[in-house]
Amino acid sequence: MDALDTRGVQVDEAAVCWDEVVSKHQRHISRLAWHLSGDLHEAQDLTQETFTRAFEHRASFRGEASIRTWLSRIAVNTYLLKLRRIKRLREVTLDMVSVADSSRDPEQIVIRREFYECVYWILQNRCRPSERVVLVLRDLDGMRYDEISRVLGVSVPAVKSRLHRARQAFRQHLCGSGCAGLRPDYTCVCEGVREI
Amino acid sequence: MNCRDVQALLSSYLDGEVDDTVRRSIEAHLAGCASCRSEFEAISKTVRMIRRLQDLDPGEKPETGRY
Repeated sequence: MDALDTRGVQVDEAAVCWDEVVSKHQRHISRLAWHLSGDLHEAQDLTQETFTRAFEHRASFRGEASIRTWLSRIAVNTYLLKLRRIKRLREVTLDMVSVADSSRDPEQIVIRREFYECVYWILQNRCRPSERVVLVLRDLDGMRYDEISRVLGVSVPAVKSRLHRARQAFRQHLCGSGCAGLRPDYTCVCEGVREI
Repeated sequence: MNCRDVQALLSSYLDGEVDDTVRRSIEAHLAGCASCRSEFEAISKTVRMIRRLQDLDPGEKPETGRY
């Protein structure tokens, strides 16, 4: 199995190896798909499609990047392809989201939920897809810049530039979102935000 | 480095994705520039907010919701 991570998928043993690839990387790809799409059902479809496309093109994997990076690239490209096909912005809700919350104070739980909803809503509904992708890969998926450059097929300096612009855009969206507590000088009276 | 140069690099600096020479230049600038320190704090806060979304998991319908 280790050979998969360094030398790629061997076609003649694909059936056995592929189950292991899926098993090892499914959770990561599912979370990535969910962060990108903002919808549980779409994320499931995107995950399925990612592994299907990866299996179909497994011979093209040459081990220059890790399998995780390769699969992430397929997931991102599949997501962007779908967006171009749909050509519409959806209203994303948190209806299919649960928040791990250790607080027993109902008021604190509500405040925290509002914080999550505010940030999540901006990511899904105000950020452009190109901004969302780079923010998800870096800040939610935790990829290094060189990994992101492989996923997006751009240089590391381009990643730096895109990420900088995306974070600035997110900040501007947040300030302009009508969030009751957020002021233009980026100070905030919302307790949900204050606690970060 | 002037303020514009520094502010363009703050995101990478925050992620530890600048080399030591650039890092030292940025830190020297930040030490003497309140405006860039404020900008750095804003970017840091933005990133912390986004990263809090890592706490979210796909799952059951929440008890409350605004949208």
